[in-house]
Amino acid sequence: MNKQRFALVGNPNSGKTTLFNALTGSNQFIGNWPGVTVEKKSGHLIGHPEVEILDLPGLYSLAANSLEEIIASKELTQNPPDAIINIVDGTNLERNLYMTTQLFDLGIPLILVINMADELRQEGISIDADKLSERIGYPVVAISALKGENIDKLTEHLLSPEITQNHPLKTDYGADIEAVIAQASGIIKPSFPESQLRYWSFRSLEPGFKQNLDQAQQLELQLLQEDYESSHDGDDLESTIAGLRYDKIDQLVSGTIHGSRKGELSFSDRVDQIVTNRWLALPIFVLVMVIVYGISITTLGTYLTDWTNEVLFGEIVPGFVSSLLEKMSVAEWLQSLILDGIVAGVGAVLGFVPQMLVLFFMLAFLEASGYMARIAFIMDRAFRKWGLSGKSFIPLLVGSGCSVPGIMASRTIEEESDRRMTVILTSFIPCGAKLPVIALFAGAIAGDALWVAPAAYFLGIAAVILSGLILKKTPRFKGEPSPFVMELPPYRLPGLKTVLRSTWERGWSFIKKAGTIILLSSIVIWALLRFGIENGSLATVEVLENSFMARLGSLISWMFRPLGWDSWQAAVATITGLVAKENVVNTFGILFGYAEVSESGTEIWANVAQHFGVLGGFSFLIFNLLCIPCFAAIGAIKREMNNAGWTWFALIYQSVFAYAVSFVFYQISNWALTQQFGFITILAILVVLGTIYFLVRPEKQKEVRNPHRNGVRA
Amino acid sequence: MTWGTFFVGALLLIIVGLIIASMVRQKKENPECPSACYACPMARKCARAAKPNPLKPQGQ
Repeated sequence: MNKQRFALVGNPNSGKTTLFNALTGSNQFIGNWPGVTVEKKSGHLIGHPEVEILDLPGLYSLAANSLEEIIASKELTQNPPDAIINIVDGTNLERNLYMTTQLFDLGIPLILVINMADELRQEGISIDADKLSERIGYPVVAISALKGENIDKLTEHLLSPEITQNHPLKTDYGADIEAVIAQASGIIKPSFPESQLRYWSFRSLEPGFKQNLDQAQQLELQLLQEDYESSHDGDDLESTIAGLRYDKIDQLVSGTIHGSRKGELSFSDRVDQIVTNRWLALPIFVLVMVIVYGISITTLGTYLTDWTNEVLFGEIVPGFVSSLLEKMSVAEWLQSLILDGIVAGVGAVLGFVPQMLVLFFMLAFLEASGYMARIAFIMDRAFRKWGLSGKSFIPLLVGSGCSVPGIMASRTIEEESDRRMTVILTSFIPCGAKLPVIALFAGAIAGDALWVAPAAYFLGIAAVILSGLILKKTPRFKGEPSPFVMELPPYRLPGLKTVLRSTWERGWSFIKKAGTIILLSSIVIWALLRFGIENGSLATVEVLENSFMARLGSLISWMFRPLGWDSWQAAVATITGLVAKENVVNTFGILFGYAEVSESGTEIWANVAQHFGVLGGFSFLIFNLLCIPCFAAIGAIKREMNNAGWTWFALIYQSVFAYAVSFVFYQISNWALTQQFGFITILAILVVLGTIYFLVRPEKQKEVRNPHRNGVRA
Repeated sequence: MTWGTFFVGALLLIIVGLIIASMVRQKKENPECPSACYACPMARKCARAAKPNPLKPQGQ
């Protein structure tokens, strides 16, 4: 058999990647979340290396508005496959077939795959695949990619010689539109291949389309559109074509769908009646996050982490490495570097791996179930009341894994001021790297209390809301929030394999980070702690306070006195946290495990508790959760702001905000608990009153942004 | 210097060198991204974001 190339094309969340994995035996990431496939991937049909299958990103149309649409459109036109495997979600057939009508225009042989046949069956619906096939002139196969139903039938079709020889359906959209398309074809003919003229004719009528066209052609097309619209009572040409495509879909599917769920709610609809209910949605969201963070960072997570911290990295690893180095007669300084620096630092971070894995497992479960998409929807309703857009919540959701992609995801927000604000706010949400810091303080100063980790997450959300309110009061951020449209995927019970794969990917990244950046940081921290100026000369220090690290920390530690922690150790941990937030734990691991102060992890954390005290510890945690993120995230902020002034504004705002919140927390809590009242307490009260006044003061002039300016394409 | 010190020291140097080399290589492979993908728990999602912004005019 000759080499063949098939492109797998479908809407987001239609099961493309599941089918790709089923056909090729690959192990690509799957998620119940639109946009999982963001790049094209390639594989070979199982047992047929000559048949290549290309998994393209999910897209709603070939309009080339989004990055996914650009990738798919380029692949299909510049390097056309032998045939297209067009997968459609059977539970949402009409909407999915919209893009199918565009694929017809491409003139490439096609096979239509109706996925989720099992879900349709459960709902008492059947689709007459043969009848539909007769109408569109292409093979139609109903499958369940998840359960492997009819994959063999699809494979048979792919291997049959007819697959690449079927003739594309020539859709007829009526005399008026066909005349416009014919004229457009004439205009663009010199710029595109003959076989793709119909496809490019439709594309060339999209507003702002310029690809391959010179100015004269663009002008002619513009005139053509204006002529059509003026002769049709101002009807928008693009909308008219979209309407006609849906009419065509109605004709094609009419009489092919049997059974109906009209008037009946699907399982997802019934769950959504509760989960996205106006009054219950937010309490349920809070409860879910309390359970997720509570279980992973305290209860179950702690049970697992106690062993890794106290036994594995407290006794087994240091004991084994120490005896090995002794046997090899390794010099004392190198033993110190390895045991007090690398093992203590990296071990302190790796000790939290079990907690991370439990958290990643639960987040992966929520993501694959479809609940994560609901959180954005729920938060949009709440955010809108405070002048923020639900669009801002998507980067915040992504940012709960890592701030860097979260900040970058803000580019999906068209409105510049909303986008800038989201860039500033994203790193307030605790990323994966901050979780060991939260876990450390939850264990060290709060006795593994269940509420600490969820409180840290909600502190991030509260910081986003409060900052959003503050920034929206300033002229640069004023205005109505951008509109937000998002498709909610159906709820599905996630496959264990999918959830475990996602958990492992994230967990392995955490471990790799500990073995690379954290390891290098440990060496640098150890060196700065071991060397310093003592008795007027550079030497290995006897007293830690003489080390370079202590001197560096002492330079800035005074600034944190009003926050309740002014030791050089705390200042140093804050600085090293800029390299990677896990370094806060790494630094404490080295500092409090240094010079054989401690023999087990438990003692290190007890030293942390003793060093900070309860209020100082919480104040330190608050500051480090909210202050400027790691260098990688700062780089992302710089890139997304694309302006030095805005970058500095973001960093200064985050620092001042974190300082103010920690300051107010410490001073007011200290006043409440110890009854100590002084000038600095008054200052803290003034900060609170000043913020409240700033938020509630009447506005002199209200500027209203035109809500129709930002079109959102569903 | 004992052979043990030499051996362990050399091994540590090689490990550090390899880590730095891999970080530099990854940075070169993906200069758009300020982070290193191998260490990023969201690398797959970031791959989308690291591409040019489709919402800004790209000459089309």
